[in-house]
Amino acid sequence: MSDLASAESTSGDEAGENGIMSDRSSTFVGWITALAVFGLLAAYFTWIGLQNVITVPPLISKNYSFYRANGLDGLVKPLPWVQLIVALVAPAVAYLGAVLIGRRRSLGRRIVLLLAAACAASAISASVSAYVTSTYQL
Amino acid sequence: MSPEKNPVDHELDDDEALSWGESADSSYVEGPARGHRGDETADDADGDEDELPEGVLSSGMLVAHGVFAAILLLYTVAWLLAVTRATAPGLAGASLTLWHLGQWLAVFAPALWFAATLSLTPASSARRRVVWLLVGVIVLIPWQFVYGGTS
Repeated sequence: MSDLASAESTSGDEAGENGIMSDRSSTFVGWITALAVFGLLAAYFTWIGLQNVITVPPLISKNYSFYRANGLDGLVKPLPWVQLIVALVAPAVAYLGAVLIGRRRSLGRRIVLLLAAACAASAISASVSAYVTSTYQL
Repeated sequence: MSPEKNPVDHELDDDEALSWGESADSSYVEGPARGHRGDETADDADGDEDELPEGVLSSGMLVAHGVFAAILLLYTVAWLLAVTRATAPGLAGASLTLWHLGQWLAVFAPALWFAATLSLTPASSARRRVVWLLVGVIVLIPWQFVYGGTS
């Protein structure tokens, strides 16, 4: 935080008291707020993805041992590791991608990018959840 | 009406049919300027033929925009149907609110992807824009609508 405060004060010294400083600092505050909000959202989706990676395969395997015990080998399908891992990494990849692509662009465009990335990540998460729950009848 | 005058009239009409009309006509619109390339003649500009002035889309790109917009609009409808059908998987409190938030973000994903792509890729770089729209069409397929999942 001290680094951020000093960075702000330096930019303020350069700009003087003609309003450019307040523009810059409000853009900076807006950007930091957007980063925090969308970062938390990405963290939440990652957390859900992690929960699914940990809890879903044992659930499926439990059903599989039941199927095998009853001679229903045809119902056994490979575990959806790829889908679960895609849902796990998608929020972070989308967030970082939006930050990288948004460099040197206006605050409004950067926020639109972060919002689009968050929406895309939630769509991917929802798709993977829907696929896993319906294919494996969880 | 003398019989000799008719051929002249026809001739005038034919000439008119071969021209694009008066440029003073209010419906006349000047096309993309081709004479602004310095001393280059039109024949020299083979490679640059597709280059249009900043912000002007070619017909092909206009069609592509329409197609992508239509696909993403269909995706929005599909996501909307999927989200309204979905039931929360045994959640309560903040988790339930966040689950609903995630579902509704998915509904807005296609529209926002389209808006972000248009806002962030310049109209002049058609290929980049099409590639990003294509990525959106692939990434945002509404599988939840297809599978009808619950969570």
